Amino acid sequence: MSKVRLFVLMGLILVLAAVPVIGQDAVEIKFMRFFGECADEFADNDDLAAAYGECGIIQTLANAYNASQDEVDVETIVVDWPGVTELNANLAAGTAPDIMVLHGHRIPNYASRGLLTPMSDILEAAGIDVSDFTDNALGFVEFNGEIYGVPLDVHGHLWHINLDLWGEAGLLNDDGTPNLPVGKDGFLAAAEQFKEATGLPFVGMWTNGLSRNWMTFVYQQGGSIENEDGSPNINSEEGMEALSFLLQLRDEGHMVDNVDYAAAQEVFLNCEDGSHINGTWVVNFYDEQVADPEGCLENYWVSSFPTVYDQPAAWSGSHTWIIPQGLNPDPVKLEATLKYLKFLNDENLSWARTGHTSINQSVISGDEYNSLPHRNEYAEFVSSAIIFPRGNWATAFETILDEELSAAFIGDKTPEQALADAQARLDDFAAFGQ
Amino acid sequence: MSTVSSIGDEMRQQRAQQDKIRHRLYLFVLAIFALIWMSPVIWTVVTSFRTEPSLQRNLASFIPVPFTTENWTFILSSGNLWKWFGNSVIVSTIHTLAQLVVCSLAAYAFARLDFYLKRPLYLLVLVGLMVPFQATFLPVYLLFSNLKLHNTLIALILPGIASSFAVFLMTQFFRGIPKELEEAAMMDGAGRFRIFITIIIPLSVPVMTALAIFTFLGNWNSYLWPLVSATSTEVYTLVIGLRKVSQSWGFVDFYGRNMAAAIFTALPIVIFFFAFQRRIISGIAINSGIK
Repeated sequence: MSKVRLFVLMGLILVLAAVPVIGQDAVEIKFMRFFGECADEFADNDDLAAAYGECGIIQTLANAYNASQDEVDVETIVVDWPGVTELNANLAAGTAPDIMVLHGHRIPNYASRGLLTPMSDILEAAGIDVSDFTDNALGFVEFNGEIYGVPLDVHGHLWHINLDLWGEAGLLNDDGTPNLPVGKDGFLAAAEQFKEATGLPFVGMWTNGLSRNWMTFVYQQGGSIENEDGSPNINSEEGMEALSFLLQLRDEGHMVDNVDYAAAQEVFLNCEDGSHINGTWVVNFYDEQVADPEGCLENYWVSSFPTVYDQPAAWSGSHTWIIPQGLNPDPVKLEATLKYLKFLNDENLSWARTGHTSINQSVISGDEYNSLPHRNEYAEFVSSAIIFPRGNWATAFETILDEELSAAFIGDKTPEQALADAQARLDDFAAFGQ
Repeated sequence: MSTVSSIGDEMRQQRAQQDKIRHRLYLFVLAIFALIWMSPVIWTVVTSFRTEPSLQRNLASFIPVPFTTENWTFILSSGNLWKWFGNSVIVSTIHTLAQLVVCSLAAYAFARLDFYLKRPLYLLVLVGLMVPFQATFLPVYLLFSNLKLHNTLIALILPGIASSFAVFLMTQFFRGIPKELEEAAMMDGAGRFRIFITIIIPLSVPVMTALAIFTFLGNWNSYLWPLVSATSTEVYTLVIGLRKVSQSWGFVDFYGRNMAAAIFTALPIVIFFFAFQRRIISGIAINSGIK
């Protein structure tokens, strides 16, 4: 073969070898999330300023990322809340998504089975600053010393207050802000004063789901629902005190009884009690109530959970991003996923517009975050949010405690029996998971 | 004589009057019960015409004030709504027809043919009646995953075509058809398949109609399987699509939209029921009266 032909042949080989790289398609990653389906309104929207609501913002984030680059193509798959049915089915079939949203308290269940990709060693290289995460946000994604997710938010229970009724009861400061009672005696005194002035209960919460508030009162006493060895700690001194306090509120007429979630909310929105324990997720909805001329709620304040005992604490949860690709993920997909994760983390302020708190300290301390409605009012929630125990039994905690506490509330069981039964049931659950 | 007949007339008139009053009383009491029974449906319709802020303040109200059509506008303006409706119609219809064909053939074989292992096979079919869907859900999911059929209408149609209940129901019915009819046809030279098509099927219209109705309804309302198999918007059924469109996070649901979605999903079935209610009722009678 002549030299010319040889060079031409070598050149052709080089070109053919390069074509797959030059003409390479974007890496497609499957992004599984709940928060609803809103393709009609936001399918083509990549302007984050125009997005609103959980679905709108999360959909727009994916759209914006796809529009901003051509290396990674994010395919969104919408699942039903909380997504575990679809995740479990896909894991069993070996078709798990590349990235998914999961509640932080569920991470131990999957991480302990080797189903999640550990991230401790790869986040920094991907440009995600773990040191910027708030402590409780980080706590929700850690398990056995390893990071298994990137937090999206911390959400939890807040104290929603009707300022007009508090004003009637003389519970406002001169500047119109609520004079928040501290300590058990202070809380009960405020409740009594409120009842005398208005004839209404001071606080409302749904009584068929008291586990979260009960847990909060346990932690406020310096207690915990978890022993040092990670086993459940329910039938404790603090637990009995917390349950007794809830019963006292009910028995003395400071709390509406026999209400589920919707009914408890109705009582507050119809100005039939002074305040309401509910989540970060209703802040925007209650602002809409204030704007509605048909509603009675006109002046509304959101505080962090009332501190009835020694230290601030509030039940919380966290939406987190996980990579359910196990311990040996495809490196190409992993790299693409981490790029998308970095984008999501960088845009955490956009997600904070839903009412949930940001997980980045740099965002929380910024003016833009603090200018969002009510964020300054419940700023303490960020530091008082309780990190859920990391045991497998944590996912059963709410169901079991809600049942047992309800039984105590309606008189089916004594408080002692209810806590003892809850302890026994969670012990069984914890033992089963080992 | 005339006195006796006039007394008799009077008594007859009195009895007729009492019957009338009794009849009206029965109707009144039944109407009350019907209203009570219908109240959740009435509430659903009313709720679909209420604003979300008013629903959050008073969920139980039966008065749509303030009135709004925004929930219906939201649902009906969904660009994918008619696609999902079409998917549901296609899946439910094909699934139903396929089940009728497959199961009727199997049932005829069990009812009329003699073959090796017939009895154990039939017992195996009956055992299938005792196995709930949840127990076979994961193996079926894995099967379709290996075949790469998820996110297709085929994956929504195929599961459940071979139905133990359908085979059992039709086997019992076919056994009740006089053998003499088939024997007469055989003497005229008809083969088994011809007998099945020309004699058995026409006589089995009531049971097959009943089965078709229940199968169609069951498939139309199916939730768990489409939830995990159809994760792409293109292949949602109406139930799944509208649920995801109406869903918000955690405890905060858009009640108005959810109720509008529920009515829209149920409307075709309601119309279907009114069109075929005689068949449905006779189908229930057949199911309950099986020997």
